[in-house]
Amino acid sequence: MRNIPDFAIQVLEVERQIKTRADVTAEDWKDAVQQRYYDQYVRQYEEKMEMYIHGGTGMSGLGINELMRFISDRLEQMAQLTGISEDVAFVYAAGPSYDGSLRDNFDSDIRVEEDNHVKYRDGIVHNDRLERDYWDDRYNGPRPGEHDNDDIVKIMEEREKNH
Amino acid sequence: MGKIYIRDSQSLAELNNSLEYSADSLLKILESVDNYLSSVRDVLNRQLGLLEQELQAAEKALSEAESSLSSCLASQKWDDDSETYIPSCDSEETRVSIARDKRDECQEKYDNGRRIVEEFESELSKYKEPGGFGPPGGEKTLENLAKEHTDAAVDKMHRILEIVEKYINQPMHLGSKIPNKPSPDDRQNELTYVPLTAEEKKQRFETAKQRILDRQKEDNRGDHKINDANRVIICPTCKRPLALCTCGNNREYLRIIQQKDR
Repeated sequence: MRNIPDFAIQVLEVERQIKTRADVTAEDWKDAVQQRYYDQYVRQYEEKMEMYIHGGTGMSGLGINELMRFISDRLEQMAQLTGISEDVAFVYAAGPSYDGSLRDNFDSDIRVEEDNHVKYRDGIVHNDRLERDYWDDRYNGPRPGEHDNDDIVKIMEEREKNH
Repeated sequence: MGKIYIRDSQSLAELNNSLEYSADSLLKILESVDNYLSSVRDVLNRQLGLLEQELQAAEKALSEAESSLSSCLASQKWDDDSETYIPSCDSEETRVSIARDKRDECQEKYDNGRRIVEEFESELSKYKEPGGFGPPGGEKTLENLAKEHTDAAVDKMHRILEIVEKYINQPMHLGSKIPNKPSPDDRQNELTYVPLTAEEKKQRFETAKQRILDRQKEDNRGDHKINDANRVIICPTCKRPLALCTCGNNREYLRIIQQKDR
């Protein structure tokens, strides 16, 4: 059994979010400025994330997809030497709280909170720079993917006031 | 400046928001990868440590066996009746032979274990290569994208939004001096601004998402196939996650790994 965390799939998820949003915005915005912006900035997201996943000439070492397979192989080889199950070694490395693959919900959106209101005033969902801190355990604000534009404006205004 | 064609100006801000979110997400993934790689290094080194302990024990056993054999040989005397040396040291010689085989076996295991660790370290250092003379490794590649590149992309988008908001007379940018609710006269300037309903926007996003999803599935085949990642490893007997399983020796192994070097 291969023991492979789902980092490549996670990057693919992010890539999907960006590409979807970029496609939608491209339907709304069709001029020379858009072309330049996409050429200079947006396309790099896809290129670099693909490179991170699969490797390539512009990057040293293996892509994360192959790196995880490489590590799985080495854990397996080490298990044959020590007699310690590679599964156990993997659980130790990934942490007991590792809760499996995102592949199960690959087709679904990154979760969007029902309460799509930015609670920046409670000081819980933003870090000290007033950036949304999605990964804070206490974070209870909206999740990315489909944002209400009013929220964006509020966040931007709030950041502006504080910088 | 050429003509501007913007159907829904909010879409630009949403793209900007998506880039910021994605950058945050990428940094978080990098952190998770880094934690995992550190733990893999830890678990491999601990296992190598066990192999080293076994090797040391085997060397000690060999040394003791050789010492016993030396003592035995030193105490031997020639017996004319049996025409042999007594006492016989055959059993000591056998012990030495067995101990040497065991030591050699442990040495080979340790060497193989060390090779595994070295190979891992080599790939790890490539992954963490900061770049400069050569291309950066995966970590820096994604970090640059999430930080410097995103900063530049967002900065540029802010400048575009400043222009757009003047053009459509809608507050798009932070600190905008344009009022929130433009007067009817102002609205005459909104030549290209045709807002979509929330339902239309949602439907369009869903369609685009499905299109991208299909494309990703098509792209990730053959050489580009994404590895199947683990689901939770469940003990077939007690159905608990392996780390919590009490059926076999797994917890004991975990305990040994965790306690070593403490």
